[in-house]
Amino acid sequence: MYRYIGKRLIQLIFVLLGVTFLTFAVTSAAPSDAAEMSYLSKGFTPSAELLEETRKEMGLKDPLLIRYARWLSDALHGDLGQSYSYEESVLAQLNRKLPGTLRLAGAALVLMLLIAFPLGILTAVYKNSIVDYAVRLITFVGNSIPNFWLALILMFVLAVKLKWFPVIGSDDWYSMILPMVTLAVPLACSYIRQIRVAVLEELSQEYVTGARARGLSERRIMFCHVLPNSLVPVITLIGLSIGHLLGGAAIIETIFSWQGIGNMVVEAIRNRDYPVIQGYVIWMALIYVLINLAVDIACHLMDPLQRRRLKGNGKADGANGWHINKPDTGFQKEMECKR
Amino acid sequence: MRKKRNWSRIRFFMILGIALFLILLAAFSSQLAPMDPLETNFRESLQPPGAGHLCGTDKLGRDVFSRILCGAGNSFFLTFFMVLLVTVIGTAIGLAAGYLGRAADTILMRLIDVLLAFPDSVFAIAVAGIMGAGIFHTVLALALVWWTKYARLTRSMVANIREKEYIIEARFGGAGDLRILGKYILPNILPQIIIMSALDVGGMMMSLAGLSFLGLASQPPAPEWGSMLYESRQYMQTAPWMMIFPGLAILLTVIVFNLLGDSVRDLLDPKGQ
Repeated sequence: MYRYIGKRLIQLIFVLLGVTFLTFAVTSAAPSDAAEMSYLSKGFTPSAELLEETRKEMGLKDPLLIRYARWLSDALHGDLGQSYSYEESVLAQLNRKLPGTLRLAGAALVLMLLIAFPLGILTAVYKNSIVDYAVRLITFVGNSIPNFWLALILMFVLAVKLKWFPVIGSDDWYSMILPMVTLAVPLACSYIRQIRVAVLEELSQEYVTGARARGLSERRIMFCHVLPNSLVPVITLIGLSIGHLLGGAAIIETIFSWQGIGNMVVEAIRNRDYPVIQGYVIWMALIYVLINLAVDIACHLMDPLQRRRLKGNGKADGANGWHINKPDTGFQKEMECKR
Repeated sequence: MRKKRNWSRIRFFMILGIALFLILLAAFSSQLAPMDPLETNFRESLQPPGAGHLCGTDKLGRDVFSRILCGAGNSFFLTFFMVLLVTVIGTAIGLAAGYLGRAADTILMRLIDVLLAFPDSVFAIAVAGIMGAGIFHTVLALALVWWTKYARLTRSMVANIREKEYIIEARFGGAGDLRILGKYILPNILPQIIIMSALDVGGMMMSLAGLSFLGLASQPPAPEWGSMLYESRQYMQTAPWMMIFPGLAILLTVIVFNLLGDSVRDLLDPKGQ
């Protein structure tokens, strides 16, 4: 187990190096460079000579790898650069905005699980009943709704027409409800399908028949045997959905003017504030990768079979680390689940 | 069993018919649209839906219905192009990695690890944001993220098939690498790849709409569903039809293509059902 964690941590370092390098390379390929942008954002257009001068001063003429090494050593010392449009370091801005996003994503995740688990289990137990069909129909539609449109519709109906919620959000929990619901509902729709498939899979196992033969109550079979066993694939998916939540938050946060990291990056994109975009991507990747590492370890702790396999060859499904598959449409996941 | 197969075939053709109808609508949208989607008319600004304008008009007096119809053309073309692009690139790279193995495989899997470390849309948003708005950059950004899925699927299937007896026998029979890949491996994995791309059409359409909602894909005057929704935000109180109809258009199209993806899967992979 410890060997496995150690191995994964070493892998993690390489992935992070790759992530930072890729982000850095993309930023340097941007049409206008840091020297020009820092002048433009202060409100004046520099002459060509001045630009040349500044570029030399900022070391923008050095080869990419050298600049990357310099940037990396700065980043390791906690310096991700200065925001162009605000007189503030990128790190300070990230730290200020991150809690908002984490709060929103966390609340959405909890709400999503609260919706998905009961309905997923219900549809599995009452398979092919009217409840099953109704929920499946709704989840199918919910899977096809673009979340930004759902946000607009909810806002229109609940905030503009019925006036139950403020149109322009502030930071309190009350204005968090709409963005939270918008993030949670489409995700819940795909999870209901996942959980249904996972529970059905377990219900068809022989041990369930055995347990029934032993006279255990259905409730006991469900909650003590079936559910714990179907948790592993679901927990893996949750790790992947964190990325979905954090990424999807960018659009939702702008719509509800929620003060978070996603709102920040959309604004940074409009202002061409490259260091902020860079910092955002790296933070997101870091959070995502760490959460998935934690999820993987948790799954291995929970699943004795996988533990045994780990002892066997030191690897979990293939050599490729933490992803079973990327979060995607429900059908995709359903397919993967069945495999 | 047989009956079930037939039913899934009937269902497939029914949904395919609807999808083709939508595609035809999109293809001939410029002829079908009752009005010019770009023509502005300030006297008709923000008209509600009615006899003259089926879905109302926007701030500049442009007919929303015509804009939705013409937006479908752009949206469909870009979606299919993207799905095809990532399928071909991903499959080709996956084939190479799975078949060659060793160094090529290791390098590829490490690269994919890095790309997958970026959550879903974050990377696409960042690339499109840094490189500047525009169709080309959006295509690049989405392609960079999406091909990995196909490469991984192909790679794992090829790695499985490569050791099968019939491949080894084909090699003894004097078949070259290209022949083995094209004649023995590709036909075996093709159904799975087609299923995956069919299931991805709806998701790709939503991703594209999301990026153009953020103003990262298409430029303002051109009709595009995502950017129409973005424009509609300001007029939510006075002209909700600007928001409702383009969204409905996305929703219905995505539903149709998701259904199509589902039925393609049922048809090609009855075991999965």
